[in-house]
Amino acid sequence: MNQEAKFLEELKKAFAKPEIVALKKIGNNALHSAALENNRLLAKIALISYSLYKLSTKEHIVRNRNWNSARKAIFKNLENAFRQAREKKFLQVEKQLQLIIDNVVQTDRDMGYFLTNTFDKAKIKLASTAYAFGLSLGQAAELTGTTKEQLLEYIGNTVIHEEKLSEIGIKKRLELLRKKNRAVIE
Amino acid sequence: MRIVFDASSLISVSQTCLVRILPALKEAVNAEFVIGPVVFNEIVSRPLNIKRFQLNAVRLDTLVKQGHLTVQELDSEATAFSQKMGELANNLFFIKNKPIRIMQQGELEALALVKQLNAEAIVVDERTARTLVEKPSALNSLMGRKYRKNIKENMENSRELKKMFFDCAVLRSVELIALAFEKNALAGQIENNKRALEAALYAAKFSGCAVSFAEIQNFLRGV
Repeated sequence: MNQEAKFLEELKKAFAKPEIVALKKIGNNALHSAALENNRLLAKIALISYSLYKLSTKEHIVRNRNWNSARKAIFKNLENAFRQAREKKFLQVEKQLQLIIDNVVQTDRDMGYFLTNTFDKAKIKLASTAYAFGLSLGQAAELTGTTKEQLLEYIGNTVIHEEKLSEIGIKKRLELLRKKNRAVIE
Repeated sequence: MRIVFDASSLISVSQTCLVRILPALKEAVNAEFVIGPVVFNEIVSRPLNIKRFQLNAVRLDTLVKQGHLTVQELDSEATAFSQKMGELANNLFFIKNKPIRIMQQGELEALALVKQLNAEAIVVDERTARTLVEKPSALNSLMGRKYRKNIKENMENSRELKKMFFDCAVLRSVELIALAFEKNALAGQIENNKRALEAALYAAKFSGCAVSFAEIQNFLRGV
């Protein structure tokens, strides 16, 4: 079975129960594979998995009387996406995934409290993980479809930049600049 | 002196509402601040259509219109340089024989522009492009730790990249803020004293500049 079908099968099972921890884990695993292979389809599966994890943990959503019908619609589209992925009809998979994304966004619009929807938050969160793993800011943003502005803002509030990759501090960098342009900078 | 900016550094500066230090700093150090068209699109054209970031885009567009920030097209040599660098960088690290695509067009364009203009410095707030230029082996170790897998480095590409990288200073927005403080260029925007400097440096960090608390604290101890 191809990777897309494998992840979609796991996702379908986890969402049916629902297994909250598994949904999050599938999202992370699919993202790692997406980052390694620059695979946008896997990135979308990761985003959907993470969004479904977030929706399933929100009490005001799971208690909403419309949640059950939204879940059924999402599950049906997940089943279709899985079947098409197994048959390697990837264009069709993409269309089905978009339907799920539309379901998620609509659910959030109808039942959520925030201006930034769960799917957009998932894009930022997963892009920050890709950045932490070594992709550039632009590459990480492109992979999940978020913006550099949102990603930078998010990253600035994490501990990602506490991990030391360079020994060159602020003072040293300014010294290097002065060496390059002594006449002007001094 | 010519200084090239990538999108991340200008976004951070704009987020911290410190864009007005750029004209003052430009004058104080007699520099030309340059961006490429892809970066212009990332910091102005695209966010102009996103309500949440429209103000940032307007601020930066004003800098361009007032001539404080110059948009420079890449010539054919620099375009080829950017493509070559992209091929090398995106085929530098492998996991299970699969290359990891790490760099994107905007970042590559900024690096190529440095080469084209023979610029003295590049300002990059994001971590990966900066590390790629300064110490690619650190990226290798980082990815190995994060993926918990063996990362294979294409040493031939690594050598070629080293040859392509140029002798320029790599700065972040925090260094620009520190330089502005030295040159009294914070004045007019905020007070030009240590408290204001500290506040501005932390604001840049929280806006996404790749700098650690320890680095800022070390620097402030010497001010």
